[in-house]
Amino acid sequence: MIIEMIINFLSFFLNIQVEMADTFRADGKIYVVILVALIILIGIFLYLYRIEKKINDMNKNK
Amino acid sequence: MEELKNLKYIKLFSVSLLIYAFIGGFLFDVPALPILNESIRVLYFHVPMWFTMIFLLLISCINSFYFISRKKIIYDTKSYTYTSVAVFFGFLGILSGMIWAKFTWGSFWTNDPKLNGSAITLLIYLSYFLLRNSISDEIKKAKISSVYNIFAFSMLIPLIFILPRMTDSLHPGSGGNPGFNVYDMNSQLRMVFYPSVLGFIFLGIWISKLKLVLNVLKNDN
Repeated sequence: MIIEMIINFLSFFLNIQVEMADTFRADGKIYVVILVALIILIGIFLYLYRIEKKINDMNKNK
Repeated sequence: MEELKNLKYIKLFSVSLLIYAFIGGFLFDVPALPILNESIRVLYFHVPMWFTMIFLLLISCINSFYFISRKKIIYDTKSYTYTSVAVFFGFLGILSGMIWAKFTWGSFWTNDPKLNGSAITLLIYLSYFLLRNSISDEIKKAKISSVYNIFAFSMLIPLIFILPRMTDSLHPGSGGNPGFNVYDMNSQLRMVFYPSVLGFIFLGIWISKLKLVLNVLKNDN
């Protein structure tokens, strides 16, 4: 328990020292979450767009 | 069009749960962890992709069983539709996982057994589509792809659930069952995680039903 706490504390401390000047890691990596949520949303929208296009093509062929 | 009749509640649940998950996912408190930092919130969006994929593949596998026992082509169309939507969710899971891995584990792809297992699973299911498209006879196509689909699902279970737990893995739950591990997820995370899983599963069912109508119409033409 205590050892775990010390390791956690140390890794937290080291992490601050090696943190890159990378905008994506800024503000506690919240931008990673935004990117992932965007990828999922855009992926779903593109997929729905493709389904709609197929339906439209089928209507045209009728 | 009878497939679309029962969708009302599924749509309602899907939309409300996902709105809740996206608001709660960004705003609610999460435990402060080193390295992960705020990116623990990706859990709400990355893991439900896999839950949805596995759920849809299970439905697809059941429909393949139905086709083999009842010999009606609609079951094969159903299982094909559910598989195609499931593979789409699998790709979203891989993409979101790669982004998460880059900023926490340091690279887009590690040789983690869970990553490789899910990649192999997706490849197995991609060859399901190849197999289907290579056979022109309708009945033969349905028969062979149903059998292959059941085989593919029984390959998924060891590749995703069993093998990664037997070795060291960067994912939580290696050498144990992550579902019952109280240390990996606390109640704060669960409050958004489970609604998000349900919301994405309902969304997957919704998309599948739409695609099913499309595929049935395509078969009739």
